Amino acid sequence: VASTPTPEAPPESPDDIVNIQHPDFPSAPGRVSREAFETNYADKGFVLVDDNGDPIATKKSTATKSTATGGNPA
Amino acid sequence: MSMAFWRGAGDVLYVPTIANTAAPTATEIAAGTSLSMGITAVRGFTATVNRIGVPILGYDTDVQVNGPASFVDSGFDLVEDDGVGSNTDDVARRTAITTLAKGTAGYFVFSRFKKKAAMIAAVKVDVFAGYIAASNKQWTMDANVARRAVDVILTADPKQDVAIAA
Repeated sequence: VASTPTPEAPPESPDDIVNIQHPDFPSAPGRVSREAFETNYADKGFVLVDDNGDPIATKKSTATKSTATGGNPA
Repeated sequence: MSMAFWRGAGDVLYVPTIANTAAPTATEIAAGTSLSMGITAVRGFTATVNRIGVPILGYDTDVQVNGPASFVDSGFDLVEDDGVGSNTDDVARRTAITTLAKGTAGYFVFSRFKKKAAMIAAVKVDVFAGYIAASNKQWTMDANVARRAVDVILTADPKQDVAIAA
């Protein structure tokens, strides 16, 4: 949608920041702390996604973290 | 409609994803997190007008045109929690801090007179896109509650008085 601003990522994201998106209302991924994802959003149907909005596996925590926090160096 | 007090009536949410900030949906809003039980101060979230004075030969007074608007520094002060309590207010305070971690990016939704549960279709809200640039504990020996300053960088035009879509 043309009027939708994509939430810009800060220039330097801490390692524990992950991209999340909801399958029922896909839009630009939001970025939250891993703790916030696990406590507030996982149970609401949000999933971890990469910078392109593609879902990533959550059970491989190390690989997931690496992918999810690969940075968004503007 | 009568005059009313924002505190106690309205709400501020962090919402991770909104497809169209001109018409956030009730589902998107419902997925947000209320921050109100953690917020003890709100800073900014307004834009200032930058007037440009224009001298005109025909007038002895400069006329004005509207120049570029800019955001004032925006952010929240959050009440910290000692982690001991477990009632809903304690949990909500901790949730606010967890939610507004440095690096978090998404949308801040302000409602004047509706709390999250009442933010349904047609309710009007303000939507600000942005991210958390810093979240710092405040260290002071003054007679203050332990608090944390969260600085928000606003990254898009604010959407004011937009109606929530069904």
